[in-house]
Amino acid sequence: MTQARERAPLTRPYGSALAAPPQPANLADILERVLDKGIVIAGDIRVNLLDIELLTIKIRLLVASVDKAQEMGIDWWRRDPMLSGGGNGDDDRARDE
Amino acid sequence: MSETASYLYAIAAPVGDDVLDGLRGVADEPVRVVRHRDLVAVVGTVDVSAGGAFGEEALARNLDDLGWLKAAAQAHHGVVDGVARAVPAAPLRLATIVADDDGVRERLDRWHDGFRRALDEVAGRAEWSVKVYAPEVSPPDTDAEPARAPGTPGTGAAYLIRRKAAATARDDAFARATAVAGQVHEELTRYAVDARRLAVQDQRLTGHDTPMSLNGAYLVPVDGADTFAAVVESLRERHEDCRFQLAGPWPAYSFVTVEEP
Repeated sequence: MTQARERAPLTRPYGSALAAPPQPANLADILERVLDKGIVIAGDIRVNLLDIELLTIKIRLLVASVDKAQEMGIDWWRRDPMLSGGGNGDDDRARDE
Repeated sequence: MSETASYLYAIAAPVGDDVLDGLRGVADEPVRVVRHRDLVAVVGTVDVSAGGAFGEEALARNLDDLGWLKAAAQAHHGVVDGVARAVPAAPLRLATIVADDDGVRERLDRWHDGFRRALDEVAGRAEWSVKVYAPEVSPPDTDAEPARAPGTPGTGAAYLIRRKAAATARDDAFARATAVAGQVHEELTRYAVDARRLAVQDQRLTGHDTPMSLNGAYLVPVDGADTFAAVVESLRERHEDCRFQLAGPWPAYSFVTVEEP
């Protein structure tokens, strides 16, 4: 384990060998990373991102318009019971690509 | 506790002032380093007084405010990204705040081996994101109602038939995108040091016309980035009905884990 670690000295940043210029990250990508990833250590100010705020954010961002979900098409790939005649029609439909 | 505290952005290899000078943090504050042994913590000073934005109560309130959160997340990312472009850096999660720089040094000491391992893991590597979206399905023409020939189903029935056909087409498109996602992730994992499938993002967030079936994160060596991008391009050509999105390079958010010492 240790000898493998020594292959990667603390010298190379990540941006040094790229042909293409970097793209700015979009907000969803940033939020999911800064809230849910990264190193987690206990600070002196107590925040509970995962249990409370992240949930709130998800609710705000994702489910705020749940009443409009159908017209927005959020879960359009799910079975619509009204159309599937009681719902077990997923498996018997041919999927010829 | 004093009225200010130290907000941590990243653990990094020693980094020059020229890099830090150009960066501003979550409170628009300048950032600096707290050094301990061979590591630094990149920190900023934030106001934790009753009237400040980063005291416990204010912070809980602010994090609940999407506008505030958006700005803070972008600023946090800006600092981490600026540092990670210059030296190996392991991002900390948003809103990691300790009382003062002594507290920062104490953490650098206590967690040193874990931080060091995390940095070794990401040094010379960057995180790339590859997303796959389901194919477009031509929408049923629900608004325009053509004149009905005698003997054909009535308007309501025709509408339901069209809706059912559209739902079926979308089901098929999503099933196809799910299968493509598995193949793409498996292939890309071969070109990455490490790989993770993150939860797919809701369509409301992505703004795309079709749902996401893959939200992959890949830790790729810096000198393998062009090859990785070429592989993504070839996968895109192979599955041209699905939409692909490649983004990066980013700090290795999804690949830094440090266990309690």
